[in-house]
Amino acid sequence: MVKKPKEITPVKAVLIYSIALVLVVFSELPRVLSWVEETRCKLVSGQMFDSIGTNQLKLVSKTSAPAEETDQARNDPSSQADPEEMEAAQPVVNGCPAAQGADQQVALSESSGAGDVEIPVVQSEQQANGQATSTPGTSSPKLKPHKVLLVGDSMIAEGFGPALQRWLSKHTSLEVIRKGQYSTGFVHQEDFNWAITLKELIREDKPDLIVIHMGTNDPIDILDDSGKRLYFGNDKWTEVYASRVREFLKFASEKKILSFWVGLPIMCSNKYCTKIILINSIVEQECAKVSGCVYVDSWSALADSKGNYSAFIKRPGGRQTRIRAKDNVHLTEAGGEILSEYFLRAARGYIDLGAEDENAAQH
Amino acid sequence: MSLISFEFALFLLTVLWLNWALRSRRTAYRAFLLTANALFYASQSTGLLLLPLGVGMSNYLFALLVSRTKGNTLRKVWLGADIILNLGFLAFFKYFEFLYQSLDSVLAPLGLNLHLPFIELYFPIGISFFIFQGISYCIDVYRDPKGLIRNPVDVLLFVSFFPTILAGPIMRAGQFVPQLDKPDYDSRSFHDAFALILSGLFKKLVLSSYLSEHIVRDVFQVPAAYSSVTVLLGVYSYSIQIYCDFSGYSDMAIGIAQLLGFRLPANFRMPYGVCNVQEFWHHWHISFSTWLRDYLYIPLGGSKKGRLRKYANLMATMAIGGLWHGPHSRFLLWGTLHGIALALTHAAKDIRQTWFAAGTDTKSGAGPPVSAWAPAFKAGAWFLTFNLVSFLWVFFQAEDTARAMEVFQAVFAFKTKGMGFEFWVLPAVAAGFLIQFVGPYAQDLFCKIQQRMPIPLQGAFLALLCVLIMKLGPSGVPPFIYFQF
Repeated sequence: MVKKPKEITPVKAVLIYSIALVLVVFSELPRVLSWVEETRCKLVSGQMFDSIGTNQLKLVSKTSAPAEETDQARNDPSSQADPEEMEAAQPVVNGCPAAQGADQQVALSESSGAGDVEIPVVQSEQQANGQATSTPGTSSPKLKPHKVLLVGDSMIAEGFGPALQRWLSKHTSLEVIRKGQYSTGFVHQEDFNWAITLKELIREDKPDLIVIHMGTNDPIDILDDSGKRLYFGNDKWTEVYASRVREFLKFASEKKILSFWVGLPIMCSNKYCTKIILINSIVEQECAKVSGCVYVDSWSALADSKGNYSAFIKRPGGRQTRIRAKDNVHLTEAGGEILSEYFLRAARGYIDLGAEDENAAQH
Repeated sequence: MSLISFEFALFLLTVLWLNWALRSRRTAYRAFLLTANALFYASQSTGLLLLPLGVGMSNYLFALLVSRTKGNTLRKVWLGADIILNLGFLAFFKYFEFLYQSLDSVLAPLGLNLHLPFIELYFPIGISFFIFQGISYCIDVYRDPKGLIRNPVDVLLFVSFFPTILAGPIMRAGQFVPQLDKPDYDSRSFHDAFALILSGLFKKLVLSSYLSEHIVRDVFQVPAAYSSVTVLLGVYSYSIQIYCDFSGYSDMAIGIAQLLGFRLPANFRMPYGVCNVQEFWHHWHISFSTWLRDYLYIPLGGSKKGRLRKYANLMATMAIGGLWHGPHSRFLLWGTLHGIALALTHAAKDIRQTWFAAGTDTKSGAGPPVSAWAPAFKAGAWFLTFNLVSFLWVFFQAEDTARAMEVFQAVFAFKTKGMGFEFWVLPAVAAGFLIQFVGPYAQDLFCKIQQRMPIPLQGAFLALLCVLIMKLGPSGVPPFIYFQF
């Protein structure tokens, strides 16, 4: 006898859905709890409605025009400002410390002790501009890398990462490996641990140069191993975050691989700006403690002439070009190209990429 | 909130219970569904919630004017005003930035350096879909005043229906509104609905996300870094990715609507199994292509004004369809090339028809002779069509036209040097391709299994499949491709 299929009424259908949802929640409890935690943090920090409420319809910049294409000097990270002048004058626009035109400098890590990676010390503006072929003050030649590893979060997966890969790929002697993982950082290590991943990448790919760019997902509270909440920005949070960054950089340093950590650029939202500044400062300090790591301050690389956030830049020829994605965090490819050029100018005192291949794909 | 997020799952649980509790109460049900639609859209963009409601209201008012006006000229004026207003909204949000970016480059050579204020606009998700839906209602009323919907809330519900507001399927008012009072379901509907939702989840979370993360994104960002075979695989992978992404969303939208008692038309029907571009557009994004046919191609004259005019209408329709996706030359190019392919397909059929009619006895009623080579020709036609469509998709994914050309160069350089691909990309592409054929059978099997189980076990089976899909998919909530349009 053929069994008659059971009839499903709407109420039974909803009951099936309810049972399924409950079972899914129990089987994916860690993920669900993580979601609950994230939602709670967003509600508490107001972040859930922040970008929607304030950014919908507004004049982006107080000036009536977006950023003009700036001249070489303004974007040249090698021009060194007087540190005292830098500290004294920190104009704050809309709660976000504005970058200054002439104050970019590359933070130098400190070599400490025997067995460290020897890094050429930038002695003069001329040298930093790459005009000198030797590096006075040190006997170390520039590193001639053969394999470059780019690692980071979504900032490497799109925008800066692909643009830098395209720049570097022009040098046919260079092999470039890019690993950008969305929604990662140093706060949520249970899903993805960058220290372990970097170790595996180094063992597998054996790079001689690493470029790091990440931190956008980290301005949130940390739940430590005992489940205790460490609030973002307080001393304990800073201590734990710094130790994770240090752990991440340790293996590369032990292997004597030269690493560049490109700091995050200026952001749009005031609240987020403040958080990213803290992230950048922690990273900068840790880079200075670890040998073989150079921190590149890129806060102003995508700012306008007044040091403010700008989503657009005016290219030669007059066309406005979007350099920041609509979420006001990520970079477009045009923004990535600008940041790549900025980084490569900063790095040329340390590395020699060799000649470009004329037949390589042009931008 | 995304359709594949945990918050949406909770939202849907609440909505489902209330939906069936209030279904028989006309006013209360409408108030509830409107609230649910508003909450869903507000979760995407709070401040722009008024936009779909405004679009719905404007279309209701203009349709009312169109139906009550006696003179044909004035009716056309009202219709024209409705279309201009709606397209004006669309153009403002979609094309403002393009115009702003272009204006300076146009004015600068004239010696005009205007420093114009820039308005950072928050892009309303789904605007292209709900505006087209609204316009279709007004045009339908113009064509047949009996189609007028008297209750403005019904029109608002039609435009803002939450399962479809973000990325379709684009509905017709005549299909949707009657189901507000008479839900369309039978005993199998709900099993089908669950099957569709699972199908959508699998396509999006497992296949589309995998291909995007493991080959498509990287290859399209830096094609020169990869070998030609890898770039070619990247092109095919994107074809599969966009199919899985978009049809996956459609499956979920249709399934969710079905759980609420609304039957929606299919949006995809084995699009990569066709043998020419004309058939492709009968099987891909069906609700959009039929919208273009009914509201653009036919008003332009369709095929009624001679063959040459037909080909021109096809090209114009497809070019405009391309522009609908965004203010970039690559979308216009994509649409135009599809238009040319479509026109050539029609031309070939017209020539064949003319040749056959001239050379054979039409009185017998016999069709054209079937060649022994027909299966080979069909296979060849399928191969050409699939490759044409896949290569044209490059314009969708590439950053700009120049990058699309880089991708083509990388493929046809026949370069062996460069990075390769991960092994699992191949079975993922194969699975994505085959799922369009196997999917209906798998859905049928799921329904048959479910129908034989008691209710708690059905819930457990559904949960098991959901968890399996989640385990195979990425962590985090991946975005849908068509949300950007």
